[in-house]
Amino acid sequence: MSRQAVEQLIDRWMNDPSFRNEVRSDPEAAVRRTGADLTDDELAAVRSVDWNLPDEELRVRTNNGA
Amino acid sequence: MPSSWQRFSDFLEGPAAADRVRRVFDAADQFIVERAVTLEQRRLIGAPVARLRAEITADAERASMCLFVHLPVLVYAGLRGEERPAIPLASATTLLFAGLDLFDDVADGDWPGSAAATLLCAFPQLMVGELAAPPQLIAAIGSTLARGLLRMSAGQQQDLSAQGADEVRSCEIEATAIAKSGEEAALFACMAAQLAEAPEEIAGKYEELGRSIGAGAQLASDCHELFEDPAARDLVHGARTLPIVLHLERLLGAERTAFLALLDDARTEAAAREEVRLRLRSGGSLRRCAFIVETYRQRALRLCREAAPLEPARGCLEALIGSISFFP
Repeated sequence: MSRQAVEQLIDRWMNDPSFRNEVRSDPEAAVRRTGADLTDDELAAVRSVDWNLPDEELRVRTNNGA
Repeated sequence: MPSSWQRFSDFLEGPAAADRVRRVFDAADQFIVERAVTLEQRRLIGAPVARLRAEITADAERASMCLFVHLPVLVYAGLRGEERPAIPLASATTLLFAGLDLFDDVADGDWPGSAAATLLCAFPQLMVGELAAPPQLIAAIGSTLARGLLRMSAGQQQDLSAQGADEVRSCEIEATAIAKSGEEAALFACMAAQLAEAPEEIAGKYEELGRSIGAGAQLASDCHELFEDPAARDLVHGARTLPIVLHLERLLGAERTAFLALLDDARTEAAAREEVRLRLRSGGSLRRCAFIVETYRQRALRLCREAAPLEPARGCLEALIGSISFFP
């Protein structure tokens, strides 16, 4: 259920420019306003993700894992 | 911008980490020399281990992130304050990993299956049996090893059954990453915690920590292979990794059929592979994956805080966990 909420958040971030701006300005507050039911680990992820990072930069940040 | 690994390399790529890799492989090599029954067996077992060592030492990023070396040693050191007694266990987990790694060559017909089976099912067990620990502890670690192998085998089957499939859900892909790579790292961490005679509750936290970092690392590695590795083996093999499945889940009707056809073409055509990458990026799959990997990192960090390892192992464990992230 929680993962579904995450999916919806990312979908909204992708498709709603005003939400994207809100998230970039204050991720946790923006996500809380949506009422999404996230776990503590997912909320921590919301805080630690760099929402300003362009896709191209994300691509070069992939690593080869363990 | 630096990769997450580069941001953490001070912790992971320093002389201590390199020395850890050297000591673990030296002990594994020595064990093979002493225990192989024939010279031919020594060659068949020793060569893939030597190849793994060469690959790892040639690639500082991979060397710093190899969970089979670092995780058991750091978990033990986090509990007991020293690394040395965990080196033989890390050698066992290294031989186990080498056996898993060798199965790819066996599938390609490049190496006898008996060598992979021996690496996986004889040498790690022998090494565990000879750990400097009380008999009941060795028996418990041996049981953990057997249960872990059972789970990993089931995860491997799940992974293979998803290849080329049209109907796979992202939750199933995550479950497979947990069942395969998550269980592998959980096994490494749990055996180390047992060797350190950690209380059951703390051992459970380390086991869960291992499961989270192993699954997150697998998902991150799948992204790297898909978006950055020129060989793109997963696309060639028709593997349904998380970025692909997240994209498929958002397509319906003709769009979905067309993308499945593109995936089929990508098995043989480089231009189709590039088109797949482009569509996944523009559709947001990479960003979704980056967030999902971040949740595994945050879960592992929380478990690490709860387990409260001793320094300096704690800093190294946090760096190892951080190295899977897109967001250092």
